[in-house]
Amino acid sequence: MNSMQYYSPNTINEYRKIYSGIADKSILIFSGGTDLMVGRHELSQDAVIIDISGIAELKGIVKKGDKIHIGSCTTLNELLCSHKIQNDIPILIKAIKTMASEQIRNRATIGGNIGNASPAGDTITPLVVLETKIEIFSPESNEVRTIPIKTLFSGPSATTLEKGEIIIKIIIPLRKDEDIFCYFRKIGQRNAMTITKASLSAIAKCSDTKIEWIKLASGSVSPVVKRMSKTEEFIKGKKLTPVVINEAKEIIAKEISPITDIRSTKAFRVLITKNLLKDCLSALIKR
Amino acid sequence: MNKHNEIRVDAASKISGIERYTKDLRIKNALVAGTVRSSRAHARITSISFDEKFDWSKVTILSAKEMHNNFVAIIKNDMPYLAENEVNYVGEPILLIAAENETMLIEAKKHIEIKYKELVASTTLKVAVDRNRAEDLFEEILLENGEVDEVFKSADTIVEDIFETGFQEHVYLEPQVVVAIPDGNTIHIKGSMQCPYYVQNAMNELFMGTEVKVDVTQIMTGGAFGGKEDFPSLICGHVALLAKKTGRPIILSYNREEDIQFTTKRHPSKIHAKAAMSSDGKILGLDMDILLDSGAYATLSPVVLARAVLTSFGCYKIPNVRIHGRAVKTNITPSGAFRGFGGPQSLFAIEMLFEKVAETLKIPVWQIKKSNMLSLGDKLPTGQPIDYSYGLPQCVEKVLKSSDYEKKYNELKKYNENESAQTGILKGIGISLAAHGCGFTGVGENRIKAIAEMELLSGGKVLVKTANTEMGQGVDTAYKIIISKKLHLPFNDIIIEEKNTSKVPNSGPTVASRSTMIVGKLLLDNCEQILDALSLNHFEFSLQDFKKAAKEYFKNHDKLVVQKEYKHPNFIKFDENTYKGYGYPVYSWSANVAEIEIELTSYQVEVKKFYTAHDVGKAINKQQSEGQVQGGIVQGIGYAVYEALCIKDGEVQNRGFRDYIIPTIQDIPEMHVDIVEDAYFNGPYGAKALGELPFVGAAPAVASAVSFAIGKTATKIPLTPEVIATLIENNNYEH
Amino acid sequence: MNIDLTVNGKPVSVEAEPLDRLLDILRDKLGLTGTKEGCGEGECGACTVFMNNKLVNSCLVPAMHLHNSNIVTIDGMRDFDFFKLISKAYEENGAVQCGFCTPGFVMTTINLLRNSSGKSLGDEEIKEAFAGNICRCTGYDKIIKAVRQLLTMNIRVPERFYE
Repeated sequence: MNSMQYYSPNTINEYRKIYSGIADKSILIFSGGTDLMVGRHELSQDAVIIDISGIAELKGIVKKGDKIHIGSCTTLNELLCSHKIQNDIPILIKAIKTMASEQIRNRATIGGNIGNASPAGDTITPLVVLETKIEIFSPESNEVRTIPIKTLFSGPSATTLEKGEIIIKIIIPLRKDEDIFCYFRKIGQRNAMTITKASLSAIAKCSDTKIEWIKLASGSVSPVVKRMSKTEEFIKGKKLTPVVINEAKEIIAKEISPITDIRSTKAFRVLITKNLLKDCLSALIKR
Repeated sequence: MNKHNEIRVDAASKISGIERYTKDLRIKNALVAGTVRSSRAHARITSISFDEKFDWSKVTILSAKEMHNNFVAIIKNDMPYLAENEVNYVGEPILLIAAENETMLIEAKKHIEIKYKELVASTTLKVAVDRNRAEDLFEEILLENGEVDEVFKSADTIVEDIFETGFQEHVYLEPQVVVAIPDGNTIHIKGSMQCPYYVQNAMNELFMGTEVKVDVTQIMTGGAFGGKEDFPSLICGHVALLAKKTGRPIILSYNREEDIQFTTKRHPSKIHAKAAMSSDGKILGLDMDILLDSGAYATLSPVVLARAVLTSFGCYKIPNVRIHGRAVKTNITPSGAFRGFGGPQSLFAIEMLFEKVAETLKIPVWQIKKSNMLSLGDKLPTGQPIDYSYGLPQCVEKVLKSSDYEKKYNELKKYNENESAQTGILKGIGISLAAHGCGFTGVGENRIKAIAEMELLSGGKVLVKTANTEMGQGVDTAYKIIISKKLHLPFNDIIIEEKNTSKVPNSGPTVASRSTMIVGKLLLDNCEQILDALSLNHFEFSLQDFKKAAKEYFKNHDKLVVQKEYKHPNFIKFDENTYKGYGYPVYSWSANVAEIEIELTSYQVEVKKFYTAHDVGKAINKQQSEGQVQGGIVQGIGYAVYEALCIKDGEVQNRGFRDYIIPTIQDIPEMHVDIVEDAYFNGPYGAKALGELPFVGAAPAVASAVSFAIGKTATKIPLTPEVIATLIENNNYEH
Repeated sequence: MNIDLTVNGKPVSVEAEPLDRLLDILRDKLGLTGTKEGCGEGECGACTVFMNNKLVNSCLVPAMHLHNSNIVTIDGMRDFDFFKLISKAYEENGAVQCGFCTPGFVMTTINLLRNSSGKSLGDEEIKEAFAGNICRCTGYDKIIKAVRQLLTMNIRVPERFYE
């Protein structure tokens, strides 16, 4: 094996300079490496690695007005231990708690989890219902653009990022309304260290007996994580009766398009996605 | 008598990381070996080409063409070390490469292209059975007793179903690894293995007619469970051949992906079982057809099938029996030895058949099982009387009490009827009875003629020479306890010889839960031989007396080496043609109760509590016996609920721990273990088999509890959520 | 590339490729074989070490992240007083069988003891801490027993090792 070329910029500006020197080559952006290291023998030997994990600007959790800014190279454990996240974004804590192990969470970054664009990425469904924005840096234009997270994904393991673009920040709006209901549940193959077969994230607001609004995102059941907007629309303004819940289950079943793979089957993923919605709405009623 | 220590002799060195496993050996000047494998399930090799862009002088390639005796000596000698013209499964070794490092190995592999002409492949057991070819039958066994056809004609009720169990991977934490070190005409083999003499025999056959001599040393083994019983013979051949060709030490170490895809697995089974029942719930006849998926080569399938047949009647008194067993070839990674060795498959079938009987006759399953259970003095369908060391009734009493079974049975019935709709959780309690024949099947032990040896050393220490290997089960500690108890020596005065075939006699393989019962007893006999030689009374002497006598002995003698060969007591006979007689010299027994929950959002079966009582004759090391039981239960829960190997077109799809799901610490139940000691007259201090039994009874107890929860008999494992959903929702959610 | 790092308190310098694994550097270049490889994909925890005082799978850490890092492995734990107590608890509770996963479990135990000083933990929290360590022999029960016992002993584990 020839020595792989490798760079580790310390600033975004350095990143830009390095990139401009090698823009014609195939580039591998490396952060925590918990996924890339597993398949390291399959990586192209001609690829140039740019390790962005040393860029200080990409780390940390900051509250700015009514938003939380998370640097893309912040590790999952840093998020889990952050009081800001614990207090303001409990749904993200719920999701991260189900992810891998402490050993992995100490290395894996939120930017990596998002950038991998896996439909089973467990931070993605909560971020989607939270209407998170992603800040992207382009070394070609030397500009930062901000997009809604739901527009980042173009397919399984595929994003709308242009060549050289890196995710630098995850911006989560904080909801001012009191008493928001939040739900995250993933169904894997066992209780720990498991990849999601299907998951559901939800936030909702109720008034009296009706659902004022609800935002839903299903994981691992579509080529990309997306909002279940027809289901949301249907539930909105309704009282959650058994009939409504059953109807909602049928609607969400039509919104997803799961596949059969080694972890589960298409039919089972549809079934448990419906169950997750029922579980979520039942929890909402109990509240 | 000393207060005997239960603490494992190897615990401290393992905890601190000082213990050396095979990959921890620092072998100078070694090459690393890799395997080029078939990508087809069944095909003729039409060409092998080596890309000229790669500098082939940097590596050494070995193919079948260069080989002398190209078969792995196991039972049928049908498996080649390297495929020559035809491949029989995806992953079958075709070429070996030795290179200076891993990177070069990977590069070299990328530059080899193999072309094939596809042949018809049996990629499932069903296809193989439908093809119905005589050459695919590795073994067929028929055991008959009584008037089976008559009793099925006259029975009040006939209950039948088809019961299926899946592949299972051992997942020893240390993957397969072996090394070969050339030394003149000798090749020293070292590695992670259960049976150095199996490897020795295979190497003797491999190098028969050449000048090459081989000796084999087992290195501390990081788990095996049967997976390092037959398989190491194949890869030891690989390293030995490469060492011979290159003249350099060779290391072959599988990564987890290779290990999961291409090493042996537990035989899947499909068992059609029929019970003839009287109206009051007595079983009058059993008719069972057992099919085992052997994979591409016979490996140990004939003996795995033998144990499946001899376990198929479980712990019950059944007057009329017909068991027909077949081990069938498919074009899948070969099946091989795995803890329980055919027993778990047929025990699952008989236990779930009783579940189905209970469902059909509307009698609580524990009552059906209890009322048909063997009584002391009853005979098995083989004619073997169960008239000694039968602790099962005591196990049943203990486990019913510890689990508070009857009360919970009634409570949970009510809960499922009245509350489960609201909670969304179904609950179940299940029971299984299990037997494990101790040691080799039939006359195997008389064939092996195991020898153990002990040497008195100056200073009054003893050197213990057996070929029985430490793979985590605690055999070294058990031997020290057995000897220490007899000779009154502290552990430090008992030295266990390296498990090297040039240093220890063949005391037989470390399999079949035989090491304590058979070889432990030989060591106890060795102790008596030493006491006789030292003219000490067998019971009344102190450590000082022993040391003094040893000192005296060496004044007049150079050496004291004692040997003992094992032979079954005379009345233990077995006819391999009719399957009549003593299938095993004695049985270990267990009764198990599992409590489970199924949450109806995920359909995941969670085992909440597991109660068991095991009759092991005598627990030589209480703490480690309990550890064996707990480990076996959790592995059995994996078998019952989680562990699904996915085969597509004959190829194992699972690539590692991410998609082969075994229980983590968050998936285990609360466990309650009782040990019952109904001594076996011919075991050391009464000990009989232990290692495999905990596994055997676990899955049926869980499946019984699942049957309770869903209100119908679960007929196959693993009971993954997809299977459970299919059973509950009356729609197919399975792969 | 040349990497300077500290391993078990000693400064070392190694030559490695950017994506070489910390696990291989420890075992093959530095001869520290106490750290084991069970799966090579971060699932089993047999290769667990401390990196800059955080628990990591050494099979997933690339050489290029190691510059100026501080690594502590099982081979560097033996002389600490807390290690002796851990060893005793594992031995006496029968928490070891084949032993291949054990160094990894010990590292996670050290991390748990360090992070839980003064807190009382339930079994669920103990189990969560060991989610990334797989054992195939023991059924975990005796490991939990050993850890439960250690948690009642008020053992002092320093915030940092070798600093």
